[in-house]
Amino acid sequence: MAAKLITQEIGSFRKPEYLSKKFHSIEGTQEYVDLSQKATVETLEVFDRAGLDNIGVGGEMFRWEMYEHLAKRVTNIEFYGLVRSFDNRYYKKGSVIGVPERKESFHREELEHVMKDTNKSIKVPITGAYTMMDWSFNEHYRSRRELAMKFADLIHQEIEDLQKTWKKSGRREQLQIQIDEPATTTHPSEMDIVVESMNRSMEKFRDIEFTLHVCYSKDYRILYDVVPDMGFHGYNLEYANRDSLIVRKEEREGYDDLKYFKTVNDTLKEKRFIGLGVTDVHIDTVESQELIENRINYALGILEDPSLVRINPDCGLRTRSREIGYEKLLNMVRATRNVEKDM
Amino acid sequence: MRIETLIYGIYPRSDRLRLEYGRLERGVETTEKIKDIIREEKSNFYQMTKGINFVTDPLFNWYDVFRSISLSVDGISLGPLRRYLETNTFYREPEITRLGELKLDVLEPLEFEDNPPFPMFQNDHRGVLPIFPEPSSMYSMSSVSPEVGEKEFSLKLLKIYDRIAGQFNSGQIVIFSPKATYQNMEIYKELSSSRQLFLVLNESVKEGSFENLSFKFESIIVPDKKYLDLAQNNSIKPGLQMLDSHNTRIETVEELKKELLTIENATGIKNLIVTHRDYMDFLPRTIADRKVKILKEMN
Repeated sequence: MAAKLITQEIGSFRKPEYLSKKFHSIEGTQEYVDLSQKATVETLEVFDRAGLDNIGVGGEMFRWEMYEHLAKRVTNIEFYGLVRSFDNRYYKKGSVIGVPERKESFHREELEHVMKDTNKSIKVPITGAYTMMDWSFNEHYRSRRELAMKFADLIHQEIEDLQKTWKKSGRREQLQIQIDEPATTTHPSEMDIVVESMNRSMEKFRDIEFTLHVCYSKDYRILYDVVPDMGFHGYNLEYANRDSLIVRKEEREGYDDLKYFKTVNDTLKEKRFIGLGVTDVHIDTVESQELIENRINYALGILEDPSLVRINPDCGLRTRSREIGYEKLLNMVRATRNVEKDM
Repeated sequence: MRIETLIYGIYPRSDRLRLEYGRLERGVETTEKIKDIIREEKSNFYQMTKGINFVTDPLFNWYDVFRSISLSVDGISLGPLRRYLETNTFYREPEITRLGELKLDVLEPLEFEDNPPFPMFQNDHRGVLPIFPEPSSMYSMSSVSPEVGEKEFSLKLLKIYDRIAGQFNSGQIVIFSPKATYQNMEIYKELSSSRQLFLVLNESVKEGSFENLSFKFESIIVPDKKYLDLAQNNSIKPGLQMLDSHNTRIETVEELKKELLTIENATGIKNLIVTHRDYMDFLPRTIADRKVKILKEMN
C-alpha cells in the first residue's frame, strides 16, 4: 500500500459574515453558540469538499482571535485599549494586573460541538504560554519567565479539560493538541523560557499527540536547535510564504532550512514530523497543484521519510476569503494525492 | 536637580482618528476630512502636553518611524512588513537603491496611496520639534543595495534632515535611534553647527562611537543610567529615559523622584532631561496620556 501523507488544516478559516459582523455583540450568548456552530458545520463541509484528512476544529468559528479569546477568559487581565500591529491595524493587548486564573474553559464548548458534527480527525489549536506572555503587558510579575510559567499552568489545566471531554466522548483515536506559538523565536535570548513553558504545558500527559505551530519566524534554526529539548511530536510550520512561486525549481529556497531540521532530527531516537506549509495564506494567488507538488517533493527529498511529513497551509486561512481558502485547500489536497501516487 | 521633560516619536492615535483612517481606507472618508481631523488631534495633543519642555510632532499621519523618509526621498521605496525590533509591531521595510534628493516640497499637502495625507510635519504650532530616524539605524533596518554605503547614506540623509528642518524653521531636531548600529558620531558635527540636536538612543549604547567627539550634542538621552556618563561628557544636557513605553504599569512621581535623587547623589548631575523609553505608540492611548501626566508632574 502506498504511503499516506496526512493533509491538515492549521486553525482559523474566514468566518461567514452572519457571524463575523455580530461576533462581539453576541459573544457569550446562546446566539453566539448557535451561529458559531452553524458556521462550524458549514466550514466542515468546505473542508470535506476539499478532501482534508484532519479538519482541526472546523476553522475556529468560536474564536475571534487567538490572543483575545484566551485573555478574555482569564482573570486579572485588563484591556485598556488597542495597540498598533501595523499601519492602521490594531489589536487588543491585555495587561496582566494580578495572578491570572481561568474563568472558564477556553475551548471545551467548541470541541464538544465539533465532535458532534464530524467523525474525522480533529486537532485542537491552543495559543501557547510564551505567546500569551509576550503579547501581554506584564504589570504584576517580576519577570517574563514567571508570567510565562503561570500561563503554562493555565494551558495545562485547559488541556486536562479537553482530554476529559475527549475521553468522555468515547472517541478512539488519539487527541491532537496543536500549541500555537507565533512569538516563539521573536526573542532569541529567551528560548529557555520558550522550552520551559511549553514543556510545562504538556507535562505528564499521555495519549495526546502534541504539535507546535510557528509561523513567520525570521530564523527557524533557533527553533530547530531546541527541538530535542521539547516534548512535541511534530512541528507545523510556515514555509510557502518564504518560497518562490516559480513552479519548476531545483532549489526551493523556502524549504531549504529543512536540511538543518533533518540534521537535528537525525540525532533523535524518536523522530519528530514536520507539518509542511505549502500554501501561502497572505496572498490570493491560488498556488497550482504543480507548484505544491514541487514543494512537497522537494521537502520529501530532504526529509527522506514520508511518515515524517504532513501537509498543511502555512497558517490559518482566515486572512483569505472562504472561496479562495477552499481553492487553496483543494489544490493542496489534490497535489498531495498526486505525490502519494509516485511514492 | 533641575528637570526638563521630552515627549518624542509616534504617539498613539485616538480611537476617533483610528476609526476615521479605517473609513478612509474603505473609501468612505476623504483625505480632506482626515487632514482636518489630524490638525485638530494635533492641537489637542499639544494642549495636553503643555508643560512638557520639548515635544516632537506626534506623527499621527505616519504609520511607522521610517515612513515619512521612505516616501519623500528619491531612491527609497516601501518594502514588505518587518518586525520592529523584538516587538509585535511591524513597519514597512525601506528599500534603498540609492539616496537621492528630497523629492517633495515637505510643506505641501500631498496624497500617497500608502500613507495619506502629507505634509511631513505640520508647522502651525510653534516650538514643536521635527523628529527623524537616526540614519545608521535606518540603514540597518532597511534592505539596501550593496552600492549604497552606510557612511555616504548617513551623511546625505543628515543634509536632507537639515533642509527639512530649515523649511520648518526649526532650530532643534530630535534624532531617534531605534538600533545601536551607528559608527562614528563625528558625522553629526556639521548638522550640530546649524541645529541643536537631541539624540535619543533606544537600545544599548555603543560607547566607542562617541570617543574623541569634537563637538557636543544639545542632548544625548540614554536608555539606562549606566550610560549617563557618556551623555554628560558628550552633550550639554544629559537625558534619561525613565518611563516605560512597553508596559501599561504607571510609574509614580515619587518613585521617579527617588531614583533621580540617587542619580544626583551618585553623578552630581544638576540638569537632566527626563523622557520615556522608546516611543509611546506601543501603549493604548489612555495609558500614554496618563504617562504624559506623570511626566508633566516631574517638572
